[in-house]
Amino acid sequence: MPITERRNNNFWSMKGGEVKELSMVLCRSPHLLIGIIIELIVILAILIYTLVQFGSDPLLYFQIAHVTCVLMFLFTVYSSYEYIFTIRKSGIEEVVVAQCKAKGSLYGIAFFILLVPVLTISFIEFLFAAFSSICQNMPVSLYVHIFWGTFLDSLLSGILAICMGMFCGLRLERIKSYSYIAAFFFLMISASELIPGILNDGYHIDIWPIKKLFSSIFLPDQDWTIDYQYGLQIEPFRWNCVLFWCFLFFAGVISKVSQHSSKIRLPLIGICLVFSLTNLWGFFHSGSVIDLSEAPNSVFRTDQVYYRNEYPREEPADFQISSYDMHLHIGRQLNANVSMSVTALESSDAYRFTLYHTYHINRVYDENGKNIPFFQDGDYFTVASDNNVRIITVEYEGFSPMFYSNQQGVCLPGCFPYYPWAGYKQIFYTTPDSEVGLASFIPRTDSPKATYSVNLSSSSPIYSNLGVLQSKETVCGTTNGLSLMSGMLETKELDGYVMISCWSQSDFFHFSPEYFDTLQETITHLEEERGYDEHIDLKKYTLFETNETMLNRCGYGLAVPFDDHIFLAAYPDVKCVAQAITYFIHEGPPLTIEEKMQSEGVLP
Amino acid sequence: MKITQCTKRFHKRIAVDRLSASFDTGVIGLLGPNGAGKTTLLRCICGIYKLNEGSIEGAENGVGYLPQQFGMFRALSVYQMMEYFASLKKIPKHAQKDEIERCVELVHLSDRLSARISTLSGGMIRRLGIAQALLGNPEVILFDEPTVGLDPEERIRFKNVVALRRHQGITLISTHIVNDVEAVCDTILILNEGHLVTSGTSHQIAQLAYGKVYMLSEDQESNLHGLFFVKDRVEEDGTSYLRVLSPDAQPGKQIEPTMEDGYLCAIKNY
Repeated sequence: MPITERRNNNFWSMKGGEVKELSMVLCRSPHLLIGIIIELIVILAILIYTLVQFGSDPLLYFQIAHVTCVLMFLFTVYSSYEYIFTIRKSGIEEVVVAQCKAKGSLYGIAFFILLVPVLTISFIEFLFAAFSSICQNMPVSLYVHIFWGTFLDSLLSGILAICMGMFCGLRLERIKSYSYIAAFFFLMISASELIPGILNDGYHIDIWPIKKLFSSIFLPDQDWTIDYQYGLQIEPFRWNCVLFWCFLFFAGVISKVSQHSSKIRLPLIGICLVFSLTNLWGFFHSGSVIDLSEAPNSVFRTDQVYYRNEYPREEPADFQISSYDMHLHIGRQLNANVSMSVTALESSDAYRFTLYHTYHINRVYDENGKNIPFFQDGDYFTVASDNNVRIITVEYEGFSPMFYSNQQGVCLPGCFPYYPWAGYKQIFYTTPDSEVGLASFIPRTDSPKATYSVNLSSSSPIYSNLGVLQSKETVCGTTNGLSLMSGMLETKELDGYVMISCWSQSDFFHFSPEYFDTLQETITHLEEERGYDEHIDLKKYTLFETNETMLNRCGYGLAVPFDDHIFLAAYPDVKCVAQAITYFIHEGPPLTIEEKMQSEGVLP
Repeated sequence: MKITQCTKRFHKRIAVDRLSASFDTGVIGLLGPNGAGKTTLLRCICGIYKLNEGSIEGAENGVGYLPQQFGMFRALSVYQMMEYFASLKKIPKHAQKDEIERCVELVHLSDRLSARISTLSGGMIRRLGIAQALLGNPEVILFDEPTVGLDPEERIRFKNVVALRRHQGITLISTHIVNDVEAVCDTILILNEGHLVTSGTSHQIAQLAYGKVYMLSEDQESNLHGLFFVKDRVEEDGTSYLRVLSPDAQPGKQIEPTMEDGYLCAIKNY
């Protein structure tokens, strides 16, 4: 009589036996075992070294330690390929399939065995990053960021590496496999950016989206300074990218390991492909992301290329906006419904507004819901209407490559037209040598005061100069510019100074009560020197820390003051910051390079 | 086990063509030349290949299977490999050790239980393959060329193992070596080019060549005519004799056919 137990009452112990023997195959194959041991040693060494060097700055540490994810990916692809190749070449498949219909189980267990080192290393990476954060007394939310960052860049990438290794191991011989893996890896790293760069710049062939499909697997742009407000880039589109590849390779693996006669084979492959394509769709609808590459739609190139051929306009408004009623939704991008109470100052047949050009206006209507014709031309749009209209509502959506607005972070300062401003305003200037990238935004803080009522839908709280907004809440207030910031921010009370700054800060500088006292003294001293009547009291302002994007990427300078809040750079030279604030408030914004050159007679 | 109109095609090539057969408990030999469709039929029975047409009943509860090319994890020991198969076959944990020892004993590998598979010879690996097929004592066991690489003693031992199973279930042995099946098989199926040519006991198969086997001296070779096949040349008392199969009357004397003669007649359609 057969002694085979058909009932699965002891299922896990049975599986335990299979796992044990298959693990043994891995452990007793010297080239595999040594590979995994080297992987562990190298990664641990890098993590320890990085922690010693950069541990005092958790985000910088986290960014630099990401090199271990790349190493883990490579080691995992190698071990997965070799392991599966060993199983395939052992010839055991046929026996397993014939006797137990367990080909799926054979490779399924192999998958989970390969997952063990990936899980272990990901956990170690998380522990190191968490340890660095604990040492710096970081808030819990940073651990969440680190967790998801590790999950995406280490664990999920590791799973992708396993899927890729298994896919190649099941189908291809060594030389072919390693050639494909090498090509894939080359496309993943920044060294291959030359190819789309040359094709795009030289031949106007844009293969950047395809390149991004590979290069977004790893944390992109690792050699750039971190925006401490935004953190490392773990936007949804990166999840989509990694999941796209995972499901694609997984479908390939399933098609190879499942029984052809199995009823769930095709549905399973179909589900994987559907998930894969859904993620591909999500990837190409990324919305607002920080893209620091040389791609045409990157942070720098978009505005550089766009403003090279655009002529700025400056035309004061012949109407006044007394109040804004905003309904904003921040998902992958900004979706806005902004109602403005307008009062015509002069008789005119049109209202002129400024709104950054990448925000696409869908509809403009009046207080009766009647559509009003409009014309959007770059950063400007005109609403054709008679002077009887009191409320103009604009529905628009989009995102700026520079000023991000997504689930991970929001950087929408009031000096940037992410909502309609009255009149035409120049918001950008390019120097004559703009080909090399000397182009900057102009911080416009000269909008008249208005009443704001802001209702926001967002996954995280938004810090504004009118108060902190939780999702579905409404804040109201009067200001000359509404700034919305979100991300790794917190409100700090520093001896009467209210500061909204990042949790994590770079090593060389921290805001402190002493710093603000010195800054206040220096400002007062400068005001006395220059004989200004009005005096600036920093305690009356909400102080926002100027993030990396505003300071170094869009060129907003050391300070951008509004009536009720000031964006302040984390810059140790107090005198420079004091001068920037004092002159900006009392004498207006600093001259652009163009204006400076004109004043010096260099330019006509 | 009942095989009904079993057809397996690989693109345009038909490997098994509308084959029907049914077996009761016992040992069944599957004979045929290379490319006859024996391995394909076994693979169809154990579910590796999906049938294009027809059905196979009786192998749903799992089979023991020794493939033609048997592979192992060379890094494991004999016991670990057997343990792996025992787990796959869902043999209860407590019964695994005894069952492994029983099967390994049957193929005379008990003293190599802790040896790594990489240190075993080809014949030993083949025996280990037989042992793993026997694990769990399945109702149906399929052996594909089981005696390849076995020395004469192990070949006899294998036949004994199979003979012991005669009343325990169906044992299907696919081979092209007639001697392997002649002594041990209750029923023999002869396949050629995907078709079932004939089936029966070894005696019935031998009778297919009745009156078609001739023994003649070498001098008479030039007198052979029509269809004939020189099966053997033997030296007896200094004279060379030919053993010839032919459907036509030939010179020399008719002799008693063997199963191999019957097999050849069936294959050659004499």
